[in-house]
Amino acid sequence: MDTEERTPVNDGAELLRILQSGREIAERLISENERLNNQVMSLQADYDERARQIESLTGRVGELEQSTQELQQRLGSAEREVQSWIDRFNESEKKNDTLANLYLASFQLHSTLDFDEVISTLKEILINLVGAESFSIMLTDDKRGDLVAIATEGLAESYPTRLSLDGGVVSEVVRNGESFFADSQRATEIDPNRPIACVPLMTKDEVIGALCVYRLLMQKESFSSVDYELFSVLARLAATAIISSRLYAQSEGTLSTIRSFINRIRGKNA
Amino acid sequence: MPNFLVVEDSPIMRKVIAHALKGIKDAHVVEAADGVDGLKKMLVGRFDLILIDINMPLMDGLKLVYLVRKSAAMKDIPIVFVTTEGSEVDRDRGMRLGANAYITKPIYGPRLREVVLKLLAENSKQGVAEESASA
Repeated sequence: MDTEERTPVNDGAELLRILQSGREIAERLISENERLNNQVMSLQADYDERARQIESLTGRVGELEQSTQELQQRLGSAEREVQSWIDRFNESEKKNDTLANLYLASFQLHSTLDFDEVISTLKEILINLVGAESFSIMLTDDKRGDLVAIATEGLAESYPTRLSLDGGVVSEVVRNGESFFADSQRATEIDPNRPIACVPLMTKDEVIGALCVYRLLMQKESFSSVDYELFSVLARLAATAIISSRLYAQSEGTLSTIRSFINRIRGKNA
Repeated sequence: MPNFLVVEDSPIMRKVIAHALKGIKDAHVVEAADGVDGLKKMLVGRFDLILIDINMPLMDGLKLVYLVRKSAAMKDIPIVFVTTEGSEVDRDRGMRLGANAYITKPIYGPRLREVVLKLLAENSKQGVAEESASA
């Protein structure tokens, strides 16, 4: 039961209050809606900004990755070039070492005119510089038309003192004046006609003999590219040293003969 | 200025080794033709490192190293065998006698220098350590 009397005035005031309350609620709703709209717009702007930043960073990452790839390629290229220079330096060093050894070998070979000393030096060179364990030094015998072994090292007593020039590796080398190197330099047995390396002893166009290697020192697997050059040049140096010592021996012999002849004449005239 | 003694009966090998050693700054090289000659030179000279061949007349390298290692004055000198004997047995025997390194022929100059410089450096460090310990 309403304690307040219901009159048209009271009803109107109530309605006004309700309407005012409704208006306040509507205003609050509108205000809240505006606030939320502003917030949404702000968030949207923020989102757009971040999306732009992400796009920019993605682009930058792409550029950096490309740059990294280019740098890696350049680094790889530089490393290859450096390695190539290192290889060339090592090769030069080896050649320099070989040239120095060749110079010393030449100096030693030509420092004497004694035939035996020349052969002894040649043997030392073959052992110490070439790394040969078993070898023979052959000279041509023009009278008999074959090769005679004037020195050997590391070979059995059964090794022939003479080799014919009828056929085989050694005779081919002497006939053609071209070196021979076997594919495999690990010899199991020694065959006088099958050296692992055979190099002609020659001056200009004349072959006076051959150096035949049958076995290398155990620590030397095979000839290197530098060894081929060393061996070939060495053979030429040895040939001139041998010829020089022979000529010297002949001239000494002739000189001795002439001296004794002169002395005899002087003796008769005295 | 490192002082080297090369004991080697082959004249050409003495020159090859001496030439290789002269690639080391201020190196001075003395040559001996056999073990006896080498020993004589060691007794009158002072060497930082000795290179010895094994197969030599009069006194071979193994005997020479044995005598050097027995001597109080010379027992710490670095010794390098330079030899044609390439088997593991020969190498072990050489190292057991007291060699510091074992190089087989044919030698390669830069490799020889590398080994020699390493031994000189090790010996130098050891000398400094011993001096510090005694001080």
